Amino acid sequence: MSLSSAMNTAQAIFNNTGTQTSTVSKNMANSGNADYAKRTTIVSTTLFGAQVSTTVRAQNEVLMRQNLTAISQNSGQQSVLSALGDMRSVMGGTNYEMSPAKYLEALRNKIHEYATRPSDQVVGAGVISAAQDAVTALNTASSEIQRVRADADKQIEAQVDKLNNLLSEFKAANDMVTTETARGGDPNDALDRRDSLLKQISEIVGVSIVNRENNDVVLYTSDGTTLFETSPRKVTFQRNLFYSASTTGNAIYIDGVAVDAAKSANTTALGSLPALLQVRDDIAPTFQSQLDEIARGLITIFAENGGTIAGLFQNGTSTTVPAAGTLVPGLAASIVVAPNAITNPSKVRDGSVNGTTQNPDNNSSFSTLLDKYDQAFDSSMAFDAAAGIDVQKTLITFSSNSLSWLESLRSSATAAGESKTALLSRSAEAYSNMTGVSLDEELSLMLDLEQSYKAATKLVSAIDEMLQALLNIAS
Amino acid sequence: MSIFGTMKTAVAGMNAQANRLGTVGDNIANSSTVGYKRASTEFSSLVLPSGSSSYQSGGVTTNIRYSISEQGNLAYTTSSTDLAIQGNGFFVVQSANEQAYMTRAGAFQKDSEGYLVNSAGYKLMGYSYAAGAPAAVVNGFDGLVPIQIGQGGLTAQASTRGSFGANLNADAVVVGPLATPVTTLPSSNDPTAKYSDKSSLTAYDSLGRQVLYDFYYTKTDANKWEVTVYRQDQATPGTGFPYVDSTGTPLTSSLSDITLEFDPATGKLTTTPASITITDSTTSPQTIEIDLSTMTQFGAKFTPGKATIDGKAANAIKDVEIDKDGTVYAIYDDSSVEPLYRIPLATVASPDKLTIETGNAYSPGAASGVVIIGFPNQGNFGQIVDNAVEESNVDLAGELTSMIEAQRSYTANSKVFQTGADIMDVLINLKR
Repeated sequence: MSLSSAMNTAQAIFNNTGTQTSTVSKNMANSGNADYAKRTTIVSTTLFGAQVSTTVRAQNEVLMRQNLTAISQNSGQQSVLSALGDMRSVMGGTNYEMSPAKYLEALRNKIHEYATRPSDQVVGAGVISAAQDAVTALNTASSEIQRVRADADKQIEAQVDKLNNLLSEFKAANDMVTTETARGGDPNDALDRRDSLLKQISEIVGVSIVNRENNDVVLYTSDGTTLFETSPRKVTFQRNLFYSASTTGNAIYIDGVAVDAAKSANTTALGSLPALLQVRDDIAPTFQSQLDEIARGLITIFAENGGTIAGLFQNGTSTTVPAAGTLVPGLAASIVVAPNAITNPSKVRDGSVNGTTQNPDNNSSFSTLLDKYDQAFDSSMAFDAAAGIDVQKTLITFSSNSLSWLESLRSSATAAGESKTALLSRSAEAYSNMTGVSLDEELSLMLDLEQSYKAATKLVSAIDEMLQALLNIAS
Repeated sequence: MSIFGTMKTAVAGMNAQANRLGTVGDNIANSSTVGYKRASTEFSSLVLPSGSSSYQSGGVTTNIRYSISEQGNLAYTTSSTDLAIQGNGFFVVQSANEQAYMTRAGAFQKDSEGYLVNSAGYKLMGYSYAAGAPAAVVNGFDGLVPIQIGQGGLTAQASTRGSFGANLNADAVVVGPLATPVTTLPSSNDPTAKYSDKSSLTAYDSLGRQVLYDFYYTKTDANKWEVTVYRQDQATPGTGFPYVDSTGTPLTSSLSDITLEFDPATGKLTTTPASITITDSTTSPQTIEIDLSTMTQFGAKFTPGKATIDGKAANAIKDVEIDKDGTVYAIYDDSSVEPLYRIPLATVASPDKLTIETGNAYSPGAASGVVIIGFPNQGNFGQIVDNAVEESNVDLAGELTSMIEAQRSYTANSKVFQTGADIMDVLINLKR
């Protein structure tokens, strides 16, 4: 070892300490950045005795993947939950004041009252107004449910646009990572960017990651569809501007493969896209079917001429009575109070709204039909299994069961939402414990660095003095 | 016995010390020169025959030696074209008049024409990959060309091979003629074709254009899967099928299809060879062989694994990387890597006897033996370290002590001379 090589070593200490200090300062600057992964500069000795420093980025693929899954699950569940909350507010909130069930109850009370006082025209008018309230409630609920579907469709379009943008940004970040890795540069900033994009993509659709050479990655959706491989795959979607009960929404295609809708209240959705499909194609249409079945129940109960022609309620201008136990899509939107009944409420009493009068003598106390209507509310009838709840129930029970169905979906979605949010925050915490910056650690490391820098300066001045001494003899 | 002889001996001694001081001066002047090898002097006595009762003072002759084979320290730099050799080899470089030399001075930089030139102006030489992987010409500088980077413009490479591995779901529903109801297979290119799973791969045609290939995996029977390939740009938007040509006519067949069979007990592939050859002449005739041998069929959902395909898009060289084994790689814009040259290392039987040339260069001569050329990491040529240069092997402290010694020794010789002169003075004064 000669003096000049000792000087060389001291210089290496300056270089390495400088690099380490810049790493520490970068860590400190990013201590509040969730997308930043801690860098550590490691000084090592090469085969040839030189000391070099390399900067490594804290990575933990297992925790990263877990965190991405948690993000996808949570985002899917929150999409379902928010749609269910929206549907609940359509029904009037906590007590479901605006639900068809409430108005059916009121209508039934009015019929009962009218049956006891069939001559009272004021009570008759009350029946009509209660009937109109029930129709309005059904019409509004139906159009609001379709609005929920249209909203989901609109959100899908926005999310698909966002996903396409994220994927093209992902390509840029991934290209940077692979180029920097191939040329032995510093890919860490690009890796941070790529990881943060992955988190955003996971919110939209669940991803699985396969690594390739030079830190290159291939992204597949959790269903196995190719999402990104060298270049981003196209995600296409055609939005429907208007939704009615019979409208079928368009599929979302990723690389030409349709995305499947998720299932159940504790949704299987990974990411918002399958969840929004579930809202649009499963939850909202089922609830719509229930509303349609309630509307069909009303028409059936008030049917005249022995149940062959529509009475107080009819489907638009048509007076046909729908077949028993068979769903008529969109009936809740088109049900109306018969115009004849509005002009003359006593026609309801006589059964002559659209049919032949059952009270030919025009007795003001005729209550046979009203009693029958009153009882019909309590007798069970057949409902279509497509509505997803009981098939043989009274109309009143069916309509309240419909609310219970919605409420049970919402409560289990809320519970699932809470546990998935908890899982997300746990996994994010575990990930950040692994990759986040700890200021205490950085500060103590900085003190170490300061000491080794000072030691190197001492070394340099000692070598300098020794050389000086040598030169002094030569003079 | 002669006073004159003593004086001549003293002059020889002074000359020898002057030589030594000369090497010290040169060494100190070049103590920071990259690749400089220190010179030193060794002396040997020159004896005149003398009897037992008289002494004939002889003289001293100087031998100049170069510590060429002594390794210098590696100093790390930030330039990727700075190269150092750890071991016995030398870079082969070319001077402006196209003469080949050997050197350890590896501070190379790209000049305006793309040549790697060191600080003495010598161009680094290597074997070109233009005609495949090169072999070294062992006993001469033949076949070596100056390394020139970045003059190639855009280059593209068509894909020829790739691989894809995935797990196909053993419990997937059977599709095709054996299904109930009967459905059509992707290979029929029918608009109603059904498939089990799909993925896609990016390949490049001969002009470097990106082409996406759709891979359909269809379970046609228990443990049997059909793999069908189409070009994605021929797909009908949304549904995929039917794939149409440029005139809108549906294609009569897929680009390629193959049936894979799996062992029902182990889930492993039994078809051999398990590869699919895509023959695509849509734009230019091209054949790509995709290895499917890592496919499995377990009772788990479709899980695509590692997918690779070679070839690259048309792009320019972005950077150059030099590997430990001397291969000069070009790194293209899209991060693909291609070998351009291989740097050989040269050595001789006696490196310390090489002929010294200006600019830390050496040329083999009769004393050193003939040149032997090989690649880094082979034999005792050593290896190439990038981002580093070899410092001179001069030790300042050693040189300074040597300098003081030379000075004292010179002074002592001059005293001998002076004493001889004084004695001569006495002798001359004897006769008045």
